[in-house]
Amino acid sequence: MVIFCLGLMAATSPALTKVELEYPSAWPSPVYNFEKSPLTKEGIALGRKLFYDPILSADSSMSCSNCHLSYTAFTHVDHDLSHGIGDSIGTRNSPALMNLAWNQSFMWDGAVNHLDVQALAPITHPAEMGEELNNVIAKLQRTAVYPILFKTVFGESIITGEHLLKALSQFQLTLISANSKYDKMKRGEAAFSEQEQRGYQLFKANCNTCHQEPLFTNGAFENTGLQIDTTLNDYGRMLITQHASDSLRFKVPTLRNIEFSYPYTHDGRFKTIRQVLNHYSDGVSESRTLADELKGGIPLSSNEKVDLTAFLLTLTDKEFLFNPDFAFPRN
Amino acid sequence: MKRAIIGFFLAFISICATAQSVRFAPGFGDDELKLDSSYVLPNGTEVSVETLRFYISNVEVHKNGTAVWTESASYHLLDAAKPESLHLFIPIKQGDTLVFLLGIDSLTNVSGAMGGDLDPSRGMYWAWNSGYINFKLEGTSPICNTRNNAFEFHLGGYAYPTPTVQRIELPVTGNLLQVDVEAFLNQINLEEENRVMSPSAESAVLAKKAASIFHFQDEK
Repeated sequence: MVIFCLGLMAATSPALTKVELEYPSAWPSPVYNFEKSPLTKEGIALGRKLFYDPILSADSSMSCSNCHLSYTAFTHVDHDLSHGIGDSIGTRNSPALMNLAWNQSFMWDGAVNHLDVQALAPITHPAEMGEELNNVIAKLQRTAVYPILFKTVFGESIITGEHLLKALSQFQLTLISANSKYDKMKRGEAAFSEQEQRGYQLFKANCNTCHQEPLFTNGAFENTGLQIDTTLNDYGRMLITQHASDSLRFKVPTLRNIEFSYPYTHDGRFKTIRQVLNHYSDGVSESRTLADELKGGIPLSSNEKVDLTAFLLTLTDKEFLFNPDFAFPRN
Repeated sequence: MKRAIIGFFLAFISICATAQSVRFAPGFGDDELKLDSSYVLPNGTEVSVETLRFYISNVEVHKNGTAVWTESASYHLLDAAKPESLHLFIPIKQGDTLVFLLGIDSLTNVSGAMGGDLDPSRGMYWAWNSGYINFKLEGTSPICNTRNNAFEFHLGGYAYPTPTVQRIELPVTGNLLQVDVEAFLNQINLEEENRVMSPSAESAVLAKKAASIFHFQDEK
């Protein structure tokens, strides 16, 4: 019966404006099942309102956007580790949010298996928003506006965990970055400089296995030879799978908008692209689970690092970063 | 007319023979389980149960090895603290076999946010290691050297190699299905094992033990 009702609701009500996700034709099909949860203009607007609303946190002080700022590719650039309510500090760097419909898993260790249930993690973590899902729902229900908005989008003014989470998904699914110089070059709308072209060749030879085009991640978990930070002792993926072979593996992040999404790595230890490249050329620490591709490091000369950086900067997508549809909703 | 009366009578008999619901009856040995009450295990250990909640899903009635009744969207959260949650509409007869899963199948575990009994707001979902808690048993025992002498078993995890969902097949002998918490605790040394709250090999072993405590008994 539950699913039967869901099935009926999944079919978009005629009063709602259906939205088709737009993305480059050369991209693979999204992982997210849009047939089951179709995007609507109203659902996206509700998700956006929720994303920017501090009501989601225990003391109503923090919204999703505190750590995921639109102008910096939906991450924060002020801290290495995420900050939560009451000046609490987490154990990992907040990830940039974009092209989430193609993610097979979420969080640095893949702890979350679906975009819909991702928001549960930061909402309930004591060092993030520190709230309980049922409290969030009760607070939303007490407002004048949210029951009306949920009724419009989901046909029910009684707010449920499912609907809250699906609304947040709807907004986040629209965060598509596909208009960088790199994308325009691929579409024949722009040309790379000689330096950018040299950097692109270096990228294809040294980085593309993990940071696979066109999404610039393969979604896998790899040990990139970062020495463990003994103040955190974070073993990454192993904490989820409990397999020793997953020790020190973290999700391969996308490189899109890398210029704006510093600091880098799961613990935010590198502030500049140069520091990251120096790590790959000279700082890779050998261990049992180190990625094969990184054994002995990636030999890169100083000039090559400059060229590679020039290419990485072509992944900046200003239309994404400054898209008014993604910013704080003014109305 | 006589024939109609006989027909009606026969129909009435067949309705009587088919129970329309199964009541899951949390118990402690031969007794009814009362939450927050003290019990003593056969080995002398004193225990009290505060929470017993579990998912029953994919319910089917089989006759001679084939399914004669299935239920679409068959997901039920049963809670010892909510008697109304313990009655499930399942048409069963003596001689049938009741087949169900204790827990939630792996596909549902990776399908995002769900509604009804599967809504993550029901307190049976892990936020930081996505997936449903299939079986939750919480209580206290003086033998547990833990804060407030608490024991907490949150059994779940859908992924290889430690899936916890259990398929249970029970020959129907009544419509009262006992869930014997004593039988679960008897298989555990609470002094050493009292806190399992994430997918693990231990959780998978305990899930098998949890599956062994479901038995039909005749209505008293």
